[in-house]
Amino acid sequence: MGATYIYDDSFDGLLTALFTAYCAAQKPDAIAAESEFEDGLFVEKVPLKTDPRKAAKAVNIISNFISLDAMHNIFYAFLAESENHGGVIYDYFKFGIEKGRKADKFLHDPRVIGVHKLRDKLHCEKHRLLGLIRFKKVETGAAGEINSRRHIYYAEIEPDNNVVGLVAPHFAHRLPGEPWMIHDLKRGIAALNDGQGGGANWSVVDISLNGAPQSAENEDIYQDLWRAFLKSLVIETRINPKLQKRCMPVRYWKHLVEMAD
Amino acid sequence: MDVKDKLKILSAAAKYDVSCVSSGSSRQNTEGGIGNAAESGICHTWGADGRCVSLLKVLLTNNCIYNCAYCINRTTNDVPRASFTVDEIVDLTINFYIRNYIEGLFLSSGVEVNANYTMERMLLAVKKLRIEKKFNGYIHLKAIPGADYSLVSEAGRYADRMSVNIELPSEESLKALAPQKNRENILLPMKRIGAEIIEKAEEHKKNYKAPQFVPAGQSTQLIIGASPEPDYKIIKLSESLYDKFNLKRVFYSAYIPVSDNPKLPVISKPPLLREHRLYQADWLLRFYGFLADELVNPARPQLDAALDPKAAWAVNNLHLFPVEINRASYETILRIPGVGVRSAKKIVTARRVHALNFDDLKRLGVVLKRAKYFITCSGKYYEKLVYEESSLRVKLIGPPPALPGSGAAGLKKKKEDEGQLSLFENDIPHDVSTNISAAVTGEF
Ligand code: SF4
Repeated sequence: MGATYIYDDSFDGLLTALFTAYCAAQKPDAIAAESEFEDGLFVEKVPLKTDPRKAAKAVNIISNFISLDAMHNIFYAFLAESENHGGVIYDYFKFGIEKGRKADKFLHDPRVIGVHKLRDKLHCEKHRLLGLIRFKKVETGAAGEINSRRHIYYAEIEPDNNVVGLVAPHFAHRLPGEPWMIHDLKRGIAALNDGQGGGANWSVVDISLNGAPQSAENEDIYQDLWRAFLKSLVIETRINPKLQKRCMPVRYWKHLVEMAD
Repeated sequence: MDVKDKLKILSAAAKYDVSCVSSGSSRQNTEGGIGNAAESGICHTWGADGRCVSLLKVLLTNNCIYNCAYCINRTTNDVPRASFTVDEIVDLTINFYIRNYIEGLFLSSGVEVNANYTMERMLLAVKKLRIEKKFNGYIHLKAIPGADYSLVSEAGRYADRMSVNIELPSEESLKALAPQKNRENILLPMKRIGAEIIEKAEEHKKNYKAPQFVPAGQSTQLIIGASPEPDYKIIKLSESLYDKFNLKRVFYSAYIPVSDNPKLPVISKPPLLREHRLYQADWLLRFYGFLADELVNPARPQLDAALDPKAAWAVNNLHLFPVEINRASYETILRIPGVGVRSAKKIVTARRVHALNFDDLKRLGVVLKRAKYFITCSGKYYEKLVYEESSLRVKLIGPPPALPGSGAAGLKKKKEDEGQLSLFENDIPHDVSTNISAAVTGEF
């Protein structure tokens, strides 16, 4: 009968579990997130308390004994909220400790493929959203004044994975002088930039809004111009809706100014 | 006329320029400025025609004193005309950019009054964006043929990419279809821009504060099917543009009938398959180490319609196959049909720690559909196979008469494309082998 380590769904929790497993004489069979774990007859459940110091040690072990790339892979695989990612990451971690620096070269091995696939899934969605995020200029009112401005560029997203913190730096460099918010409706979190300038003035916060914010003056005009532009850009003899859908999956359309309704 | 009407006219007039790429520049934002450029380029949406939209692609004006037969903006064409003011362009660019609709601006223009006048106005627009608005997003600017080089050179200080469109792949076609243009005033600015890019890049390397010049390089466009040049001529031209003028990209645009000029071919649909094959061949030149002559030659002047150019090259060079996956060089692996750059890199990485078999390849994500006929894994074949051109062709594209899955639509498509291809058949030696495979798979 093997043990399953249970962590609290946080990244630090996962790292704590990896470190604990690394030190244990009797290795656990699996690692699972609390929210995903299903009790079974032959499973011994070992809940772990998240410990930032242990998490930091896990980071050291992964970076030094495997590689910085492996650390990056594990973080991205964690953010790709796929079922059993804790288990997939644990298998990869064990394999990495066994093979050391060259672990990521075993591209045919299922233990490596598992984590690489999740990482790629996340990269793909992140890159996609850099293009598909649409800001709307909305009023904040006197009460919500940000940096002495009464508007904010506001975007709604519902991504498959938890990518809001990954796309934020891109926009922080691009629009440092404007207040903006990227709101992940699915997870109730948002990346927020106060528009004070500089590339690092953003943070991820928990958020819930009551009702959709009010469009600022001229917002509708630019949305309308954008739609008109796209319409006249199409070459009629090349119409190909299938290709369009393949490049831009329909699940993203809801929040696109040009595709909604 | 309001901005919306202008936008409709001037984006419709720009749409036949197929380039919408925003890659190749990593311009940084400046103090108090807006925007930057992403090295890899970003698509922001896809049109109903499936084309990626990355830039606000518009003409400054569609008024044009020239009369190029293939162009909707030609002076004798009866279309609504419009011109943007510089401020309108700037306002649209900034407001689209801030909302993350676009990566930047692609500004082109008809020739109004004269080439210099037009180039000067375009220059005003980019200067206003870069200097006054501190806009650091991507800018692709057309160089107007015939404009003084001093203007073009100044524009190059603000643009990320510049392009001069060759459009027609030969001097004769240019004479026939664009009588006011000539080789000189197209190729000369390309050559000078190319030289200045290299010169300024050197300076920039030595001193990173030295101004950049067209950091994302130069591109051009060729229209496919408006004139009789075979693929051979087109690919040779592209190759020399990459080698001699240091171009970043050559774009191919299937000719779309916009005129009933008797000098132009009558077709009902643009030759999209041919365009697709040319892009594939172009890719082979740029990333796969192929020479133009390996893909097409005077005896085989057209690309194979039924097979992608790499597979076509392989079945004509069977003496080089099979390739042993665990031993062949990276360059050789790149030449296996169906194996792309990503797969080739994975193969050479993974085989350093493990001898690969066919199942491993599948797990690596290598698509074996075509590759399996051309490789061995530690000496083993995928299946028993007669190694000759005709039998491999059947394996790759199915038996000649009835193509699987091609049905009536496939046959109809074939007819239309033949109308297009027949333009060339008077000029070129009739080649039996290209004809057998002229059947179209409909696979894009
Ligand atoms: S110069 Fe350009 S815009 Fe004018 S007719 Fe020729 S191709 Fe068209």
